[in-house]
Amino acid sequence: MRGRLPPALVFLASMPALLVAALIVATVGDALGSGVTHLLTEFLGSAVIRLLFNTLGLMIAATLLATLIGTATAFLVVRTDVPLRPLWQALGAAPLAVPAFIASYAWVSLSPHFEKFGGALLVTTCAYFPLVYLPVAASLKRLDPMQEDVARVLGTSSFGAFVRVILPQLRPAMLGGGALVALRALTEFGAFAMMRFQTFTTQIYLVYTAGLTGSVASALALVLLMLCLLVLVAYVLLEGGHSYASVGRGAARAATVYRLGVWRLPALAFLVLLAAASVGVPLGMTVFWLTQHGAAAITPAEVSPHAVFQATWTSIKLGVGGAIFTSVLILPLALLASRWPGRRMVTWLSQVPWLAQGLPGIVVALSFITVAIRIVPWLYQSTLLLLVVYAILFMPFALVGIRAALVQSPPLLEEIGRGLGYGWFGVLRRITLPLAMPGVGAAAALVLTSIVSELTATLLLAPLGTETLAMRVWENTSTLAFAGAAPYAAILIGISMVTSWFTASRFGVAAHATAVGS
Amino acid sequence: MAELRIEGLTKRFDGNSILDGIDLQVESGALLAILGASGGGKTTLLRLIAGFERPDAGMIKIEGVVVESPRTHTLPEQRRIGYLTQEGALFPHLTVEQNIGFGLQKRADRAARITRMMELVGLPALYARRFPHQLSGGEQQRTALARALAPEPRLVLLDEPFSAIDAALRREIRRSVLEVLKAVGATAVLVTHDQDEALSMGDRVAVLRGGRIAQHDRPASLYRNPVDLAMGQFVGESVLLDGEAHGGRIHCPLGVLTSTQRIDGPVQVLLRPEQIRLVAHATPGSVAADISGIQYFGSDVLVELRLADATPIAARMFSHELPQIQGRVGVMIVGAVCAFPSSKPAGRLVQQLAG
Repeated sequence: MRGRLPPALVFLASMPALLVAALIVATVGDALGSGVTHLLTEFLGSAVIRLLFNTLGLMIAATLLATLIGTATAFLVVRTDVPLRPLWQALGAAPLAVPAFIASYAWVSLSPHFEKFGGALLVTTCAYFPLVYLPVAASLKRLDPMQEDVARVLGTSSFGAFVRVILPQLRPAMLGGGALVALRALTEFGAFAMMRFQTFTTQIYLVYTAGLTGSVASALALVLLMLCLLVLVAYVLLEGGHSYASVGRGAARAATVYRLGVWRLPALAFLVLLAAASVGVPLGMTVFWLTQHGAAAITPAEVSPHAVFQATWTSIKLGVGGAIFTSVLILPLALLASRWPGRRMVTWLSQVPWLAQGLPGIVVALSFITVAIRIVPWLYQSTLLLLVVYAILFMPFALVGIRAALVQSPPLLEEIGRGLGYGWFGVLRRITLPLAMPGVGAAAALVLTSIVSELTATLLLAPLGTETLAMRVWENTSTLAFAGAAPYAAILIGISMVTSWFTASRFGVAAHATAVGS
Repeated sequence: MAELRIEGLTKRFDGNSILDGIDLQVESGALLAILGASGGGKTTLLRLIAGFERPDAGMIKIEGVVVESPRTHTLPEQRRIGYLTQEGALFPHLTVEQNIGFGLQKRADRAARITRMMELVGLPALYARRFPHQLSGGEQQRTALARALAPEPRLVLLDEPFSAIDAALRREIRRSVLEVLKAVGATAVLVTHDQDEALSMGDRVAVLRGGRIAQHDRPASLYRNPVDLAMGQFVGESVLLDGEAHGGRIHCPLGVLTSTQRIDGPVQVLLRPEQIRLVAHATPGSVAADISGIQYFGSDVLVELRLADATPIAARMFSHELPQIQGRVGVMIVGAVCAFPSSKPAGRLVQQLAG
């Protein structure tokens, strides 16, 4: 659309950026104000080295493993004759509907052996390999099969064609997915805490809840923030701006399906194991504990239907409220980005939510607690503050979905609307929003899913007396009352699966993954 | 380059014959155009020659050596074939020079060969470092051609390589591809659904119909002497009339015409619009017709006419020959026409002639 940017819209679209700026200023200011090096050496000393070692070690291991598994799964499912391909295609995305801390709960309740580094690596890999699998599978499907034919006649074996033609073109998807897994591994809290694996996130939580000075937590948070930033920078450097725009439409012919021969059964076994570990164990253990008496677990706990109902209702209320709040917050920016793309200011503002993707929930929560206590005390312990934090954490999802939906309503229709005598607001209300509504709904559903399965910020910020499903799972698992956690976990997984299915059916699974991922 | 020989090639999918006993031979250095409707098995034929798929029966020989038979299957990478596809299928992650050098991995003269190929296909040297998406459709196709020819293939396969290029540019690209192929003396097989392309590029043209080679001929013979009516209509614009043949003379609404072959009885007459000349009305030896419409194409025009019995015909001529007259003209026929036994019963023919 031509013309000047409406100042009011620009102001509203800047709100996400202002919130993120406030957050970073608060964290950095708090940490620096009290001498970050001093805090890190005096109060924590060698503990910081150990945390760095743990956090980076897990991040690197999980990223490599998830990239390997995700890519291998994508190739098996898209390009080979492995049995039951459609089933694996669906199951490859399913782990995204199971929050990592639920998976953690399931494994811990299965056996105490699943703990520390090994357990954390298992859960992180199983929970996040779809972030690699989905984009790689999508890239594989988009590849022009002709390219492999051409490579063959130019004297390359089929393995050579894979290495020289296919693999390089999967690189962007692998890198993008890998970067997301790395960020998730850095920012994951609940799963690691349940596995008794110490990373920056669990330590920040410990320091904060132990009532040590907020500055120590902020100092740790600053280091974590730096690590996340490092991942983003490394990603940008490695990615190098190559997007490998495909040339031409490509052949309509389906790609050659590789025959696995004797490897067919081992490949099948690999996929069965993967599905069992990533979906089977979380669902199976939850169902198992549902059927047990409270006393069967290490710590007995009875579950009152009333408490279950209360927690469900609270989770849904927060989820719906957060989804609406986030959508409304992001709508002006999405409008700007879809109608005035390419303006430098719009480009900058649209980058901000992506930056938020690298912000650990625990850091966002802490910094807003700091801001609230110092500046607006009445906000502390309020639902509004929690909703603001949710909005910051999940605005990338909302932005992707809503912008995509708005792009689907062509500016031409709006110009016709203007021609018929409506003002810009009338056009927005009568034409743009109705057309974009299905997409906005799907984006909001995605935000809702994320909020319901969010643990960290909810734990830190929930007003007194507020108990969500995620918090109940957390509390019961912490006290080893596995049967007590089961009903909450079951409902949580149920909500997550239904809303994920809704989003996926609107956008397609790949789009869902892009939104979840990017 | 080498000669290609195909014998009895048969391919079935789900029990349906896509190719049914194809016999073809291409002499060394010649270009064979295979013309067929979409989905008629043209691409399957190329993929069999390239070795991507195996036939159900038949044999393929390149340079006298069997590369495909029920007992032999040479892998695609060992056949030394150049393959040019519809949109080039350039590797998007490689630059122009890397694309061209893809098949030259083990060669010492790789760099020199790349430069040589770029010159040959007319790509400026400064394009070497560009990526495919930075090229126009024509430049992409030139790069793909250079890539296909770089390893000095024995045989070049072209799978509708011009269909994705703008019509305005297509003729020029066709010509330069043909020049390059002739310059390196390539033996080539081109498949296309475009009659102009097949007739203008092929040394010979084979028409693939119903999984068989319906006619294999020089372009001029194919156009002038199609094996049947459908073939005649397929390879070019045509005017159809009913007539009655007696010893090489055909009586039809356009008068008495000479047939290209000896035939008797009721026939269908096929002639090309450029065989019809317009003359002044009532010129001796002409047949009267009314102009009903004119399609103007710039260099040439198609004049639509109706004979006295309302039979529609059309005449093609250079636009500067377009008569300044409206209404009634005379038409004369130049050259011999094709006649095929008519399937229509004589009674209807008589009715038509009378009506």
